[in-house]
Amino acid sequence: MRVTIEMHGPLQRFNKGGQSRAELEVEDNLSVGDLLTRLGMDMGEPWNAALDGTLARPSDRLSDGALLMVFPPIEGG
Amino acid sequence: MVKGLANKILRLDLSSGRVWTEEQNELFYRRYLGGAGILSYYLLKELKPRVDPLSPENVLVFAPGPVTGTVMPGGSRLCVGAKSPLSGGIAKCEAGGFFGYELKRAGFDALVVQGKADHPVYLWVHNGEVEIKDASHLWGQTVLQTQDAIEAELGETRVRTATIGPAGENLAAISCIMTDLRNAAGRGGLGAVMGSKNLKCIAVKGKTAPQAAEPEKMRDLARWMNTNYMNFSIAAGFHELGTGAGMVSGNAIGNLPVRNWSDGQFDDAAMIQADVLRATYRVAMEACPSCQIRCKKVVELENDAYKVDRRNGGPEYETLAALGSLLGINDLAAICRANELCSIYSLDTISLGGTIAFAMECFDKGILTLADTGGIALRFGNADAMLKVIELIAHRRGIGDILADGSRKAAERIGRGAAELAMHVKGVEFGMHEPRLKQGLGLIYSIAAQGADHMAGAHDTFFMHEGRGMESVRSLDSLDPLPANDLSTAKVDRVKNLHLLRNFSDSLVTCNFVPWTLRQQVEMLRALTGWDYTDFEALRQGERVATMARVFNLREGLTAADDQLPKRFFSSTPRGALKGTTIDPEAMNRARRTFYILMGWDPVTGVPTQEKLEELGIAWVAAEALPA
Repeated sequence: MRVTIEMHGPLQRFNKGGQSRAELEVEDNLSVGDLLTRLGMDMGEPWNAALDGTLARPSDRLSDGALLMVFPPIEGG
Repeated sequence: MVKGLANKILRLDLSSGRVWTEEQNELFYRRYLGGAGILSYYLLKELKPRVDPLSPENVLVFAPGPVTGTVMPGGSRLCVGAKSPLSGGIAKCEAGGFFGYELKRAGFDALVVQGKADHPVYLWVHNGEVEIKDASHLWGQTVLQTQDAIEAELGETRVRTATIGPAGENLAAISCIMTDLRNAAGRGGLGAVMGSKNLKCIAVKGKTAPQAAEPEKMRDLARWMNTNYMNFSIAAGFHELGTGAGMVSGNAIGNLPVRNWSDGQFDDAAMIQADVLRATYRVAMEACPSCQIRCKKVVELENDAYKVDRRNGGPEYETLAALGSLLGINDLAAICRANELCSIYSLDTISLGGTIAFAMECFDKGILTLADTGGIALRFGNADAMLKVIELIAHRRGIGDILADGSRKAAERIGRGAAELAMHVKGVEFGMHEPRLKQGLGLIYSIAAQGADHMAGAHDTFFMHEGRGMESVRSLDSLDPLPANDLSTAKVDRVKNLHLLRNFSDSLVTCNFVPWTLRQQVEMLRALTGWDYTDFEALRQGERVATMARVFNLREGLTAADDQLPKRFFSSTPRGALKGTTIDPEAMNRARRTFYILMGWDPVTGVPTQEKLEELGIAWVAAEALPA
């Protein structure tokens, strides 16, 4: 299946070529956490993700055509 | 004498012109530290109960912390507080820049101002000397004009200042105090308190570095952070873009407030992002002393519509949201100009945005009309109307006179059901983070003594799954990841402990954007003072400060009934990521009661028990403060 992943801010470097947005071919039912690990993201760094417009957990499963946005949590400023 | 401190507190009575210094013993500093601790002490000790916050009896405290003025990254800040004209309770906030750093190096752990001058004055603090100087010619000037005039008058450059503009002079309860032109002691209406004292500016120059007990350990810690901060993705993000990189992502998960919190989606979030700002109007990034993260954006622009002077800084995340999505405005240039107006007039961008958003919704619903607004079509998305209303608020003209004291008081004056649309806790407008998403934050928004302050504690989305965020709370014995909307006892315990930690950090005073752990903050205090200070003591200190703020509010007449979120948050947004998500009122009530119990407060009234006060070493506050 194909999924689209958007990496924001300093996490962008984990997308191939440092792109903010990439389309990937992945196996069915891959979890959010597994995809991010595969991309080489340091899972120790604070991150949040929106999967098709909802705050996602690492165990949430991707579906064909899914949009996953990944970004640092926001606290203020 | 405590190592690393100035060991002097500067006192000023503007009514009599008396200036004196006060020395406190070592246990005083160990108990209250500095920053939020010292200001809570002086507000409880020196302020008579129930005084008018704009009367000479109010006390305005500027308090750096023990680490302020040292080599420590994030150690340049100060805490500012008084009785708030916005809430009637405590106003407490922190500001960056050089002013706190310089005040400490001028030889003072705090400046406590009381009374009222019989004409406008400014204070000149330099090399241990203090002069009260005439400021009649500066009254009515902007913050920037005042800075230039004072430097010219003193024949000095790089004078560090805390200044008010016209909004503070005109006693707007949503006015702030600007430090070094572009940093704000923003929340709670402190600009109005300064204005009520006829105090236009405090100008400081200092050159005495604090002498640490173990200077090499201090340097080692500072060196470690300066070497490693880029390994922390959030700090690295601040270094590159500053705050405000998360407008699109915040919109995607429902964190971004939209149109007075009435909507759940801002279609133009990408137009007000920090990376767009970098590509357009941002001309530099600036740092506070000793900090390499340099998160502060500087913008400059000149086009057909607007001109913005780089000396007035640039909008942070809170401002981009408060004067952007919250008002339905997508014009980044207009937001930069609005930010500049807030800097030069000394307005809190958060309360200002919350108040204008309230007025825009009133206009949409016909509660306010063109006749009320002086012909301004105060609609969501109208950037020109926003800029006009900021001018009116700063100068208290027309509709601006009604809005200058924040949304709660404006709603009282307007009537006609407007109170339903005023989004505040204790009269203080919300920080730009959705409590329907971050429900632990919603809890602390409702309980924090200073009102709906996003800096008061937990942001739930940091602690949802494994990683560094979770590790940071495991040191507080909060072990399990929890969903953002969870309000279990485990979450309440986390919220409470993070609130205590924040109160400790605000007493130290360290910057929240420099990723210091609790252990490292304790280490720096040990190296600075030579005390055998522990993590336990740090959290106990935070608890002491939070409890003192609670007692202050109770003394001023606030009750548990003031620890409430607006009704809107108990219903869903019509669209966006949080469509269908609400806060469960019963769960929030239970969480509030649990918070009180965990704090050693009465579960119903929220009044701290005598035993708790004694445990914290502040039994003295009970006799003069607590309701019988």
